[in-house]
Amino acid sequence: MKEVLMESELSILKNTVKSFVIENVIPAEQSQKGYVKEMSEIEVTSIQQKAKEAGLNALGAKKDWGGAGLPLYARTIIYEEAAQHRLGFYHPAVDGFGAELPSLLENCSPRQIAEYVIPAVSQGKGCFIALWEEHEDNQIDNLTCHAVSNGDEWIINGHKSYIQKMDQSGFGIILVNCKKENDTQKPTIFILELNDSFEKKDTVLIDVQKNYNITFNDFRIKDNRRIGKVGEGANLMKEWLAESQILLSARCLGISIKALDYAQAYAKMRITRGKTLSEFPSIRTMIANGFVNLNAARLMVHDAANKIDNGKKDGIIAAQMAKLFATETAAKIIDDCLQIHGGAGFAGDLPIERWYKEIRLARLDLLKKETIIENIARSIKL
Amino acid sequence: MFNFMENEEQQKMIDEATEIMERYVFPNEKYMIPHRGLPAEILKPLQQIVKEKGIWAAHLPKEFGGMGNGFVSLGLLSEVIGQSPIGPYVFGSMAPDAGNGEILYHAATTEQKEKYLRPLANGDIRSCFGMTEPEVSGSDPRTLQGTAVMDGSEWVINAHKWFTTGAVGSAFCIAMVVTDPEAEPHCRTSLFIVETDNPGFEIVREVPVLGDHYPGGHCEVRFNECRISQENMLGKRGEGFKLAQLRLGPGRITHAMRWLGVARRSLNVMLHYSLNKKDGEKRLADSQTIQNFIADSEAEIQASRLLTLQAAWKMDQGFQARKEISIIKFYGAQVLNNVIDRAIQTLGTYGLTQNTPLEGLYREARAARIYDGADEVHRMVVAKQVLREFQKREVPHEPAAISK
Ligand SMILES: Cc1cc2nc3c(=O)[nH]c(=O)nc-3n(C[C@H](O)[C@H](O)[C@H](O)COP(=O)(O)OP(=O)(O)OC[C@H]3O[C@@H](n4cnc5c(N)ncnc54)[C@H](O)[C@@H]3O)c2cc1C
Repeated sequence: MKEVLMESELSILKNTVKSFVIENVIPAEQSQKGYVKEMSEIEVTSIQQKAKEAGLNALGAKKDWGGAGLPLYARTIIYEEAAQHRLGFYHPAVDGFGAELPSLLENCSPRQIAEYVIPAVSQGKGCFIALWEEHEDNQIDNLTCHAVSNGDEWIINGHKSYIQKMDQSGFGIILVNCKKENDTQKPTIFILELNDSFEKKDTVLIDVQKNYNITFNDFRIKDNRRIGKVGEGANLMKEWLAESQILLSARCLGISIKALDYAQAYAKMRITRGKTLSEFPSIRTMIANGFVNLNAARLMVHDAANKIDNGKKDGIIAAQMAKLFATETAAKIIDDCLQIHGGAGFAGDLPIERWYKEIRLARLDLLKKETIIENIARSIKL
Repeated sequence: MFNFMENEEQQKMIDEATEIMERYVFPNEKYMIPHRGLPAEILKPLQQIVKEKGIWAAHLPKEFGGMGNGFVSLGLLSEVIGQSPIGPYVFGSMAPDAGNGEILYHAATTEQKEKYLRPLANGDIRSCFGMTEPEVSGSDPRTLQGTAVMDGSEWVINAHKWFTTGAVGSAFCIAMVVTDPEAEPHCRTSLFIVETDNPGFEIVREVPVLGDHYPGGHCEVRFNECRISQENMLGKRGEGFKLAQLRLGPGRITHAMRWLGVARRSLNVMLHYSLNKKDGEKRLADSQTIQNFIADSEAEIQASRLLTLQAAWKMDQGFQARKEISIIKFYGAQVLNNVIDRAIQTLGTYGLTQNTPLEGLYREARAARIYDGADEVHRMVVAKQVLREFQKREVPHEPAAISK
């Protein structure tokens, strides 16, 4: 059972996270010299320590695993705050709260929990997800990485791409299509260890995000690394997608707030043709529209989180709608904020330049618009 | 007279440039270094090939080694060479050197032309343009704060600039500073040629930025008690604003046509991918959503192209074409961003890897809505001009809709 929090408790939590970011995260970020692209491991460890002391770690992980067991809704509130700094969109509180673990790990055997999950939680490490492939990052049913049964093991061939945060993970999970003799392919999840014998190559997406591609050539994996039943993998991954979409959306709210703050402050200060930018209707419209969409996005994110927390059937589609709207909203707000700053928006002195790249990625990450729109159409039996 | 055909000479130029792009430019893109462009040992021989073909520095007259063609031809060539971020360097017409070359050609003295324009036009040196200051709005150059004051026979410049594109590695900077603070707002500034080895010229830093295609970075620079001789004033005193404008008109034609080259290339990447990538049983190209991307991109590219060529044609006829230039500046910049965005959307995350040119083009493209006048400023110019034209026409005030 996830913990149910009262509004008053949530409000305390929100303020705790806000203060944590202001007191610890932003100063750490600002203490780095020059153009900050990432935080040093020492800084991250020190922030993780402070977060632990403040009770802000392993937020979603079950209490039995050593986590805080917070429901998604509470986490949307936390991450909206934790994202409000330069690196915060993909590294909320510079990863100080530890990584989020997919709830599908609840399907792990007690041995798997003890061997992989609990150590990861205690070290503040996450679980990387090897799902998408180089030319397929939307349709789980079209993936090609596969495994053939061989006694008590499976032989995996194929590749996986765009794996995020592999360096900060204690272990990983992979989705492969399993085949036994003449059976049809059945999507199944396995646990990967960091030193498993797959080829690993890193790349950088849109100059901002380090990703990994991994390749399997006759890689043998024991059946006891399987999570859930053979054939259950796709559905489990869809649960993970929904959770991740909601958390990504919550972070979209965070950077949108921050971008609007920057936009407002600059518009009130910058003078052109004898007036502040904030006096020009074009600029006023950008900022005011941003507020409208931000509020709508927040309602959708909270709605989706509540639906998932309460096991509602339409939670999955609500999460997709929230993801679509929150990323599009943040993209527009960031684009406008960049425009309002002129040359200064194109420069990396402010975080807007980084968010402009990251939000382009986020629009594709965890299902792109076209896929979500089609899923919505199907969900209403169109 | 309406004629939408390239003439024989233009077609020959386009064909030759296309061949050079395909044989020499695209294959060398892999050697591009972020913020530094192509290494000289690769760039120089390529420039030589272009010079031998006679399609070098299309923006300049023949006496300075250029092509001496009109704006339409300049635009048509820019579209071809603009497809690659290194194209303009290989063809000797990159920003900001091209614009600086134009100012020098129009305003420099004979000595200045020999000393600065000739080597610049030949690609032996690079230059930069220092107008924008961090402290004041670049959209309103009447607010510039940097100054030049006469001291004996010298000017002493004190200024703080940024977005001085290409400053690292430049031989000189054309600086725009206030010389006559008491004059009318448009007559306060003058231009100066400042050699970058002047002890008073300091590159504070390369500003980190979204795009990385411009060699020499986008720099923050300072002029600290920078002393230069009287001979290095460029044009007349108080003409800074006017001369800077002179640089912008033709520059916007080449920018807009370069953007079309980039947009066309991005559309081609999208077309290639959608014809080859299957989404289940069907190709992406068979999906109506992708077809909409393709149709919208094609329509926008065509519209922007015709608008730009028409503006160029008007300039060839001797018109200023201010409204037309402003339209293509904001419309063309948006088309550029739209088309690249759709191409990335079609390729998915693969479009953000370094396996295609899209992500680099996407980052660089965002600046087009800011430099040489932000969208909002050009919209304002267009609207005011349209209102003025309407008022002049003295149309009878008929009701717009006739009710029965
Ligand atoms: C890649 C790049 C290269 C550049 N290269 C050079 C160079 O080589 N040399 C050089 O001198 N400069 C260069 N610039 C600077 C460029 O010319 C300025 O950024 C531009 O003029 C805008 O000025 P600003 O940045 O001060 O923005 P501001 O003038 O402060 O304007 C900020 C924003 O305010 C809004 N705004 C402005 N005016 C209005 C209005 N009237 N109505 C409504 N909204 C308005 C717009 O959204 C605008 O984007 C470069 C810029 C970039 C991005």
